[in-house]
Amino acid sequence: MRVLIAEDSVLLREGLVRLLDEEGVEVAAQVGDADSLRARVRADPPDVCIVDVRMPPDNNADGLIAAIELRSEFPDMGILILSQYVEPHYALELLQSGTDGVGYLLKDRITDRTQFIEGLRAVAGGGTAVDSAVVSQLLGRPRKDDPLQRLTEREQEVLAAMAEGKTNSGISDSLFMSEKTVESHVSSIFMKLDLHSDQHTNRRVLAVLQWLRA
Amino acid sequence: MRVRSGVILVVAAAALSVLALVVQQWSLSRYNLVVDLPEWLWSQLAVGWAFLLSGLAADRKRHDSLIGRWMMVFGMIWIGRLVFTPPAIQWEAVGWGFAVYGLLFVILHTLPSGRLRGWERWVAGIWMAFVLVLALGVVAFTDFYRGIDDPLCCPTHLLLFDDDPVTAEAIGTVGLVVAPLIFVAIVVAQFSRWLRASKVGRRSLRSVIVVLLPLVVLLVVVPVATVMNSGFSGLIEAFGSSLGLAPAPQPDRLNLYIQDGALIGLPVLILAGLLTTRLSRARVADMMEDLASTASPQELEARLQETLADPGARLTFLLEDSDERVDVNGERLRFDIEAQTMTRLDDRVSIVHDPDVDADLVAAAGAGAGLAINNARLQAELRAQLLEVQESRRRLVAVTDEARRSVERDLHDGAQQRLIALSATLKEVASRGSEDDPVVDELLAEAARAADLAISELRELARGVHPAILTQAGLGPAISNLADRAPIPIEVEVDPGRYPSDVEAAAYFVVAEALSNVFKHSEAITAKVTVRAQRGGIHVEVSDDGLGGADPGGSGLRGLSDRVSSLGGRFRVAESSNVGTKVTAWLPDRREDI
Repeated sequence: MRVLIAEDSVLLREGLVRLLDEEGVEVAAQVGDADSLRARVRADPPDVCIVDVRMPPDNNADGLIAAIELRSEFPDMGILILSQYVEPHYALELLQSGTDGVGYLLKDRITDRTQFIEGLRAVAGGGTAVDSAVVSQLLGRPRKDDPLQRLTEREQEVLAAMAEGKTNSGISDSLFMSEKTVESHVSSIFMKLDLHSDQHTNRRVLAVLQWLRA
Repeated sequence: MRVRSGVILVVAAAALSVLALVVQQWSLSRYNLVVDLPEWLWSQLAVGWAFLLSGLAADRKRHDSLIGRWMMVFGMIWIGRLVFTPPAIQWEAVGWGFAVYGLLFVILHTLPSGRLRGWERWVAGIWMAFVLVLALGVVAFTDFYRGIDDPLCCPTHLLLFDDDPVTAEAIGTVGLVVAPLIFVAIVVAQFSRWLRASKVGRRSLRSVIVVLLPLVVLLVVVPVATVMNSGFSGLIEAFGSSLGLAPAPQPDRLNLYIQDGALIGLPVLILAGLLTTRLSRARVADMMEDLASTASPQELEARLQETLADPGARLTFLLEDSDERVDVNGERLRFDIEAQTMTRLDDRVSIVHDPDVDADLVAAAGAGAGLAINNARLQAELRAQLLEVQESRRRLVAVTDEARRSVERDLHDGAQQRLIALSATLKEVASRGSEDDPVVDELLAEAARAADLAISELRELARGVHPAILTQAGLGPAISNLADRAPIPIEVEVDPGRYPSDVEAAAYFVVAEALSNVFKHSEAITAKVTVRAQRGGIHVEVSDDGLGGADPGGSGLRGLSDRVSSLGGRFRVAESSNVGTKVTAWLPDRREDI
């Protein structure tokens, strides 16, 4: 796996390079701003770009904008956004540009090596990864006549795992239940939330997040 | 011209008229002349008096124009020349030529101001000299007493060079050909002046059209009539005579009527033309009456614009404590002064107006509105000071906002990154483990947890100082995030669209502070936030179904009110025991102004 790192903080960039190095991931290039990100990807597209949301030149959401732009040019390239912000808005914006091979993680995840690498591999494999903090913020949002109250505790856990981008087998591993049970939970959730059932894992993420945001 | 000099002029003209009547009568009986007296003399006197009296009236009513004086001079020369009879009849002819060709053309050309500017003076001077020479030339070759068989009459007049009718007619024809050409040139010049004039200028040139249009019609009608009556032979002369510019060659009745009618009607037309544009002066008087009841500077300016018939006219004031010029609203002038004319009323007050508006009229209007203008100046100064205070308050808020953004940026780029690096290192060390001391492992894990907690607390702090999402994605996502983290359900409706950062920040903090009040005090079950584009700005509303009891004087709401009004917006807290509290704010989108 060849990875490009776009991060303006030298401290974090170096930390990332060391971490990936130790995990045997090849760092093809490192850049510190959105314009060089575009240039490097166009010159030599990697398998995955790890991109900081906020970067020069404008220090707004330059990284995210560049990443979404590059995605339309290189649909097979994975995009893992790193962010300081628990912002469902960014996660949704990214997913709306395409649900395969994208991830939105807080920078905090770097501190937990296994979690981070897991997310990175999911993105590289065409899957989806959404930070648990973002998902729990959305789940925790108070709602009038909250439909989530109709879910059992177990179903709520499955919903959160779905929203984070886990596959059915991933859910079954992390929640210690059989895939069959996961499937029945999933269809029950879809029914209770009046969501159109979609078996495709990645599109399912977007549907759930949009439902939660609405 | 004062009334007395006017009276003197009339008396002098009357004396000359009487003298002319007596002298002509004497001459008629003394010499056996074939002249159409007294019909001819009466009509000539009527023309002279028409010019004199119209001139006097014009001078009285339109003192700014010199046309009235030109007309008086014309009238005096016209009447004065009638005194000359044989044996000095040649002066009558010279006077006629000079008045008609010289003065009348100057009058027509300089309508409505009567003023010759720059090179025009030279041209007019040369033209009048040329006319004089021409008239003297005709006289020099004409023996007016040819065929008069009277030994008592001088056989020759003083100016007579040679009695040569062919030469005299040739010289006369030069005049008869040149004069209509000059007249056409004057019409063209006046017409192009009309075309080039602004709206206001056209209004003042209306009088010219009133005068020239009938003359142009005459110029066409009379030759046509002549040709129909007597064929082409009299055409050239007819051109001249159609304007009363030459005596009718063969005095048939039609030509005589038209010629006399034209010459009597002309001064009346000129007077009428001048008076129609004078009506704007009457409006000054109307305005003065009106202004007593008119209060605001804006109304005063509107009245001035109406009076000057210049919708672009503006009152401007020079501020006392600076050299800045402001308008009636106390705002710095934004329009282009260069394309306008500025008429100073006093040291501090000027009226900026269209260059074609008569400056005398502007001064009159300004003087008429004196007290009201002074009042307007004071109000404008007050407004200007208020605007300055508002502006400085806006700058203060902008500085605060910028400081908040800068703190958030520093946290993001500095402390937050370092804490993440620290946490990563701690966890790295913990994962390697110290084989011999479990207490160290426990301490390391605790330190890592503390670092993680610090990371999320710092994230919350940075968000509270200034949410980055607001700058990056606008009000919708930023307010949505507030609703995500609220303890009660909040309905959010935000129109999409971006606004200047200070407007967005104010709207955001209104919502954030109002919501935090709702959570703290209201015991509300739900709340609703709407942000809508409205009336050139954004309307923000936060309502709840709680107990009410918000204190508008409390520091939170007070600060919001200040922030909103610093942007020229409005802020309101409404509450009732039934329907909870409603905080509304309207913020102008000042993008057009910037």
